Amino acid sequence: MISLKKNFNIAQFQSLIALFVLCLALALLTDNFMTTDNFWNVMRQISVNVCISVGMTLVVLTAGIDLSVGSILAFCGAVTAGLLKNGLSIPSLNLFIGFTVLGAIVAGFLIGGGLGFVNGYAVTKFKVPPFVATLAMLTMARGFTMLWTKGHPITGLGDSFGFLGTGWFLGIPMPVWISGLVVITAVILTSKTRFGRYIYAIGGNENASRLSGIPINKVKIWVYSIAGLLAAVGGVLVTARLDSAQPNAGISYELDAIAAVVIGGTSLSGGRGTIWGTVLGAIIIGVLNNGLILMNVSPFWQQVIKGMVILLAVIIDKSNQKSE
Amino acid sequence: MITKPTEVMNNKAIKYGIGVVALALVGYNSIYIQPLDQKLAENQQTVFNAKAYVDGIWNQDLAKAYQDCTDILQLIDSFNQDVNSTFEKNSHALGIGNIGYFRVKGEGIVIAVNENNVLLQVGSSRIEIETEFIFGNALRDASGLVKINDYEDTADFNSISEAMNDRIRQEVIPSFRSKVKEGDSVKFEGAIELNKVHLNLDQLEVIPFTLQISS
Repeated sequence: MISLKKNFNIAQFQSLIALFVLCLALALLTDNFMTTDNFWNVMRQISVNVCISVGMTLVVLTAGIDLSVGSILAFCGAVTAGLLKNGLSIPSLNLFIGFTVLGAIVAGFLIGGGLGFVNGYAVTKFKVPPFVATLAMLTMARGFTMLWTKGHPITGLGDSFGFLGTGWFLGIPMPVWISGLVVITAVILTSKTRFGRYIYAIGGNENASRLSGIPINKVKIWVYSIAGLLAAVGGVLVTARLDSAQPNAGISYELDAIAAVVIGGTSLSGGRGTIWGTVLGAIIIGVLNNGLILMNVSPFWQQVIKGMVILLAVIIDKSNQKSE
Repeated sequence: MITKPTEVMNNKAIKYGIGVVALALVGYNSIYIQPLDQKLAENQQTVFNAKAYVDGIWNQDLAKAYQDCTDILQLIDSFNQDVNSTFEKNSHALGIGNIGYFRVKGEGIVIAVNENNVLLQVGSSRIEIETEFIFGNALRDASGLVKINDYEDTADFNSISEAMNDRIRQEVIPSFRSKVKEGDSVKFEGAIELNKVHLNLDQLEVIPFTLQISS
C-alpha cells in the first residue's frame, strides 16, 4: 500500500482524470476518435515521444534538462539510414563496410549514447548548466545531421528496417512493442535498482547525496547517456516509420518530451516523479494532438492549446508541492 | 556466506566472457566488408541515370505530352468559371494538397525582354516565360508521365526534374534568348504551377518546354 502510494502520486491521479475527461470529450465531439484504427494510430504516434520522454524523465529527476533529444533523434536516424543505405567507404584502403539492419541500428544507438555521454560529461566535469550544455548539443547535432545528409532525405531503406516502424506483431504495432520495452526497462531501473535510487536521491538533494557517497558525476553521465540512447531509439522508429531519414526530423520534439514529463507529474526541480506518470503525460499529449486534428482545429491554435495545457500542468504541480 | 576471491574472479571472467561473445555475435551480424572498387562497380550497374532517362523520353513521350496541352487563355477562362473543376480536369499533382501543375500552350507578342524572363501579351493576359530561373518540378509533374511510386529513392525521382530543367536551360533557352526581341510573336508550350487556395492569374509564369519565334 505504501509503495502504491509512492508510485501513484496525486499528480498522476490528476493526469489520469484529465486523460479520461479528454477522451470522453473527444468521443462526444468527434466520430472517429473511439475507433480501433484511431487507437492504434495514436499509440503509434506517441511511441517516439514515449521513448524520448522516458530519457527526459531520468534527466529531469536529477534536476537536469536535455534540450538536445530532438536533434540527437534526427542525427541518429540519419546515421542509421545512411549506414544502412550507403555503408561506409574508405577509399585509402579500398574498403567498403556495409551495414546490416542490426549493424546500422547499433551504430545509431552508439552515436546517441555517445552524444548523451558528451552532454553528461559537459554537465558534470565542466559544470556547464544542463540547459546550456544540451542547447549547444541541440545545435551541434542538427549541424551534424545536415552534414551527414547534405540536407537531403535518405530514403528507400528496405522492408525489414521499415517493419520496425510500420509492422505489427501479435496484433500490436512494432513501435508500441519497442516503446513498451523501453518503459518497462525504465520502470525497473528507477524502482528496483540502486542506480534508480541514486537518480531520485541526486534530484532530491545533491549535496546530501554527495555526502552519502553517491557517485553523482557517474550517475549523471549515465543518465544523459541513456537519454541520448533513447533519443536514438526514437530516431530509428521515426526513420523506420517514414522509410526516410529527414534532416529536419525531431524539431521541437524535446518540447513535447518535456511537456509529457511535466504533465506526468515529474517535478522540474528533480527528485520527484515516475516513468508511468510520463507515459500518461505522453498519452495525454498524443490524444490532445489527435483530437485537435480530428476536430479540424487550426495548427496555430493547436500550438496555443498545447502550450496552455503545459502551463496548467506546471501550475497544478506547483500547487501540489505547496500543499505537500 | 563469504564469497572467496577466486569465485569473484571466476564470476567476473564469466560475465566478461559472455559480454565478449555477445559483442562478437552482434559485430559479426552487423557489418560486411568488401573491396571498394568491387562495390562501386556493383553500384554503377544499379545506379539510376536521370539524364539518360530524360533523353530517352524527351523526343517521344514528353514531346507528345506537351503537344497535348491546354490553351492558356482557355485555361484562364476555365478558372474564372470554376477553379475546383479546372484543377480536377487539367492539373497533375503528386499527392493531396493545393498545388497543381498544368501543361499549357499559347501564342503572344513580346512586350518586354527582361533579365530573368520574357513578357508576352497573350490575348488580354500577360504571361511570363521564365528564362533564368528554370527550377522546380513543374515540367516533370505537369507531364503526368513520371510517378513517384515507381522510384524507391526520392533523390532519383527529383533528379528527373533536374535533368529536364538542365536540358531546357541548355537547349531551349540560349537560342531563344539570343534571338527574341520586343514585337516578336512567340509560340510556347510549357508548364505552370498553381495553388488552388492562393490562385493568382494576373501574370502566369510558364516554365517553357518549347519556344518558337515568328517575327
